[in-house]
Amino acid sequence: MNRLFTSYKYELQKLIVVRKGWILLLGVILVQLGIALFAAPSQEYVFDKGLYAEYTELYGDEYSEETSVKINEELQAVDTIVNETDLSQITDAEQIEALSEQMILASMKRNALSALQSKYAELSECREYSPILTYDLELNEYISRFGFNWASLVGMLIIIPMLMLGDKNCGMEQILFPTSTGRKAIVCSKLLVGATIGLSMTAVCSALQFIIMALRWDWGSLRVPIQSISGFGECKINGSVLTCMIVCIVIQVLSAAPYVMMISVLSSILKKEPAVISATVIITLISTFVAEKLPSISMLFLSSAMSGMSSIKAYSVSQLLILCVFLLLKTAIFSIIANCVICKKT
Amino acid sequence: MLCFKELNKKYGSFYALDNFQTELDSGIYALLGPNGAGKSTLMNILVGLTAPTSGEILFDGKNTEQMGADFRAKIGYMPQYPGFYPGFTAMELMRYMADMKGYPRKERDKRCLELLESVNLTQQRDKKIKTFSGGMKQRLGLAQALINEPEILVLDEPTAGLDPKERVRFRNMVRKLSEKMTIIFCTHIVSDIETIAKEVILIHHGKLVQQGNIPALIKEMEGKVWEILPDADELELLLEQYPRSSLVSRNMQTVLHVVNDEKPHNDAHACEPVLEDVYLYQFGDDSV
Repeated sequence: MNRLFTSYKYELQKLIVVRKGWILLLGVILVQLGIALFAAPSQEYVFDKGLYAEYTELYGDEYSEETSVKINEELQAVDTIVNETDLSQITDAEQIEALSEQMILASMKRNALSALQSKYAELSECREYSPILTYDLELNEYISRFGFNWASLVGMLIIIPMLMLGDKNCGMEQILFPTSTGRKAIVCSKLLVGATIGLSMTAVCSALQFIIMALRWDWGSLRVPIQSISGFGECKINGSVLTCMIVCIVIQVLSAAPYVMMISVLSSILKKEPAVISATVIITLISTFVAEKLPSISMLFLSSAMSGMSSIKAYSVSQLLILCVFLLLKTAIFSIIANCVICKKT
Repeated sequence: MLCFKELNKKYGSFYALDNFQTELDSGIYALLGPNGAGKSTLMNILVGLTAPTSGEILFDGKNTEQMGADFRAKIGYMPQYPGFYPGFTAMELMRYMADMKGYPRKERDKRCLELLESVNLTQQRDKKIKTFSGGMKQRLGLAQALINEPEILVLDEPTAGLDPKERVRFRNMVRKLSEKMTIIFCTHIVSDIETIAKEVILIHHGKLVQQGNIPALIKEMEGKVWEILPDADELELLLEQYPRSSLVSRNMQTVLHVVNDEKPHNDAHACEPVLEDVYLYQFGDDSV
């Protein structure tokens, strides 16, 4: 155990300090930051910005049945004024203009209210408890980009072959393996370092996305049910956007481990960085394509877990749990294969 | 006592090692053979980098494979072309290797400095390895191999890339070390080992061809080494006829040195054999 820890410490030091892996990690974080900032549009309202801003000011930022009643009362008041006014007796042009403006505004409010009511009814149907609905529903654009963690995958694709092939390429392997620490402990420590970096990188990338989203919107918006977001109406998870984001981050982080192991296996078989990168990209693209075409078995593919919110959209809670179990199993299988392939004496 | 028992290493239908067996005690054992003879394969199997197809190596009667880390703790290995992380300094590498070899932390730095001094790298200890010459890297390779005070030191072509002065220095260092350990000095350069080896093991096509101390091996060559003073017309013909021959300069004259069971020429006279003649005799065309 002591040998493993010593080797782990040195592998980390070699990768991050000696081979300047920190520059790459910093690069990945900056790219992720750029993606997150670019993906986060300014706060927008679904229908009429001024109208919903007014609603928020008057009734608080959450839409509810009570709000609906209040808006209805306001609209009825306008109707009463219009109904009780004898239009034939009004001759003043300004008065006519004011009244027609009031009617147009009421009509807009009616449209907005009916949109809110139908969304609210939709949510009530797909959720067992009383749903929360805010006037700001334009999270969709951001969420759609909270998808495949490319920055993290690119980072792993560069750093894992560096880690696995570094000793071999510079000839250190020949003097390291015959030490008392030995081949198995060294390989094991490399896999652990790879997993540490892969998991941390994915966690940091996902967290950055999440933090930027939370900063650009208010926390209240994140409390709305995931079904409020267009495209997520059929989502089987009874949770808020916030909950789903956290589940998404957990799954993405879990999916980094088998990816690390798979890249490690490919590195030891293919032995050249460009070949490893090409093979991983091809495997990812093919598995993404097949997973899309065959949704019933999509959770068998690594890319499904890495694909972020689309896995939240596609799977129920029990399926997500199975997906997590699959990810752990894949990690175990790939790490066994990696150990066998890399430790095998020629 | 190190015992190689019926070692075989097969790559497809090619035997890199063919039923190799021998026993080694303390002292310097020179493993001599032409390129591709199986020397490096044997070394790689000994240090655990390669697995044999069959056979085993025993250390004090125990299988080295089964001994695992216990055996690896007893060996020091310097590969043919030692490669190091160019970003490490000499001292950082020594510390790294000391930790990987499980050398006690408290005494680690002292041991590293001692070894760097013994290979004349004290002044370069804080310099990055990427700035080192080939000879400096070879010396560093030897220093790292010695960190764990090994009982068996394996040197695979250690003088490759060294200039004559460094070779002499290296030989002297190895001679000193041999008092305390078994050294396997793998080379194809006879002059590297002829003054220091306790025994020479000749290996060819993966097989042990001959083993013995240098005087005994040379004695066996008596009556098989000849010198001819050829005229210019004959020289090319004789060189072609006797591939186990070499040209040497004696008293400003070119003399043809021939290794052959029979007298090669009427004017040939027998001369004193040297270790190089043993090498030429055994490896024939391959060695030239």
